[in-house]
Amino acid sequence: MAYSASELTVISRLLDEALCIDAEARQAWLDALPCEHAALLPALRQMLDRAKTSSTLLLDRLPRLNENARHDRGTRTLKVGDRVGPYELVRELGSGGMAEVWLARRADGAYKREVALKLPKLTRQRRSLERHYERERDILASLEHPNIARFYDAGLAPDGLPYLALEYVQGQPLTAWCDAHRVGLRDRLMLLLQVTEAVQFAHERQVIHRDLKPSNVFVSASGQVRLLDFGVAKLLGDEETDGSPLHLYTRALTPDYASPELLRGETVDLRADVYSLGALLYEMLSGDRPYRLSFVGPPAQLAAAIDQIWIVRPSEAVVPGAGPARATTDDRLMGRLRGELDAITLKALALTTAERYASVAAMAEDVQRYLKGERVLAVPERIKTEELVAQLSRNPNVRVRRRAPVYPTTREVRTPVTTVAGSGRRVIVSAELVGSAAEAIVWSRTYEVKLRDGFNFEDEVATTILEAVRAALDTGAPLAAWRLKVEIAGND
Amino acid sequence: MATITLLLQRVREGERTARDSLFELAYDSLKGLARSRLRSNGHGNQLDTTALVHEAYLRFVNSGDLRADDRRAFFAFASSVMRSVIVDSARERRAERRGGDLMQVTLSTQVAESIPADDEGILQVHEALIALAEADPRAAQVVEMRYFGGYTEEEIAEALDINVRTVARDWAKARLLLEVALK
Repeated sequence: MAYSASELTVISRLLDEALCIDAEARQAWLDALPCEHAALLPALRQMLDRAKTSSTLLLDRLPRLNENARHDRGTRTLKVGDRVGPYELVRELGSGGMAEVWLARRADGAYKREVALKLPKLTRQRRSLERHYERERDILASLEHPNIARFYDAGLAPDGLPYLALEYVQGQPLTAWCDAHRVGLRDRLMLLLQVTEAVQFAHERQVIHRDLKPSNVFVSASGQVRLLDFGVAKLLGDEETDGSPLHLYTRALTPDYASPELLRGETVDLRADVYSLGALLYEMLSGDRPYRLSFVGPPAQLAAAIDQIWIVRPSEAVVPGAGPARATTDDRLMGRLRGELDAITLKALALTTAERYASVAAMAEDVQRYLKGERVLAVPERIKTEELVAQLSRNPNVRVRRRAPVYPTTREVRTPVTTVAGSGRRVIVSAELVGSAAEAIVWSRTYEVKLRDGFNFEDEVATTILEAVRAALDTGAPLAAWRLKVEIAGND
Repeated sequence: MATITLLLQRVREGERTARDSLFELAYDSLKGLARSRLRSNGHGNQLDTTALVHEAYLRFVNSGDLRADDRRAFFAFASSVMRSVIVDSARERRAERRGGDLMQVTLSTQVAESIPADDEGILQVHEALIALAEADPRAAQVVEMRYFGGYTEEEIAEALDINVRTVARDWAKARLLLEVALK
């Protein structure tokens, strides 16, 4: 039944009237309506019936917007005023892949405190969810730390759904808070250190968070960091069993902050969190994520996408307007990121765990070094020619004589690399160690260097070659004289 | 120059073309943001429209296009832009689906169950709101802000400069109207 605009206007006005009077009195009110409104009566009656039961779910939330989205069959819909165990729902705070979080208060008045009540969205896998919630509860119970949202209570609602009552943190996600308060670089780093402290604390208790991202790191009004949501956390060394809802994890995960090994479904260690912290730091500094991954596509395509992850230095990724949000200009921000902060961020974001900071503590220490103006370890030491010679001469097979203060004479050793040729992603470096007499090649090696490490490219190559040369000399090959030849070629 | 601030001011002064320019300006920006969010959002795919509007607001303020004290005016206006963005994208997807063999494969075979989003629902609400706006403009705006903009009742009250209770009543009323009378 469609009504004209003028009829709707009347209905709307009448509804205003009817909704103001008590539900019991509405029947009398309907009966007393002048007969000119007779045509509207069925609709009005129906609406008032619905108003009584307040059963309408219409417009409750915007449906998911992606064609890839799935409906959760069996979703139970919660609303304001609902009771869950001893709690009464006040308003919805947020909703993620597998849970919704409500602001709630004790309905029995046991205490006044407001809590964030975390409730599962799916009812289908009730059993596995229960186990999952028990796990999260156990993990949370072991994590009492000023920078981790406090865990209060857990239980099962009478209808069998598990809930977790957590500290309600009034605040904003880390990156949003920083921008809203125009937090400068140093203070941003201080905030990051609060995050690393919390993560470190969890790590000491063998807990890997696995889903560190801005929306899980809140900053309270007073500027205190609170780590939230250990929903996909796991205990180190604890292998996922078949019954655990890993498929729910993947659904809840934000791929842009997750480490490659996690996305590939490999077993992860604490360094997965180092990576996510790197991504977080990247965004805090530059204003943008290191990259954006889309999960739409067959697994092989995703794997290929992960292999192609290409991270530009934060200093080159500064988004317009990021400067002012950091109490500086865009240009100055780029300048300040260049070098050490680039290096720290990219080391945390190294795609292989071996290249990454070995621990969150190591990353935090480097940030502290930067803040104190000390040498940042992520920036590799430049190997100077004389150091190379000095190191080589420790080998009994090599004698180095010096003529001038700087350059060696009998053996010509040059810092291997000068410039990088080509604009491709990889370069080929070939190095040869040649015995002088017959131009015999004592040692040679060709390898590829990924340009994402471009900023310390030369030093890395130098270090690698130096080590190889040293190893070659350790074999005791007698060398009258030798020469190091290095060639570089770009390769797309 | 504070472009958006100027436009908002001209809208307030009743200039029709200013509203169009303002809309265009914010539309592209919000659409871009929404797209990138949906793309980057991985599995969630739940568009957090409030966050988006906040982010757009911050971007405009940071770029100097908007004065921070125009927050209220911007928010009241941004949800109508958001609605367009959402409705347009729902229409596009509907067209795509009708266009045939668009196949989406999800990452995990365990969650391969894939059902089209509730685009029809979005479009229905949109059309119903057009009718409601004629009969009860304020209630329609409350729905727009809450449903498409994702604002809380408090935020809506602030942006429209009305009582929270009025917002709640309009909301309750609009839902009834939409559900029964506009079917």
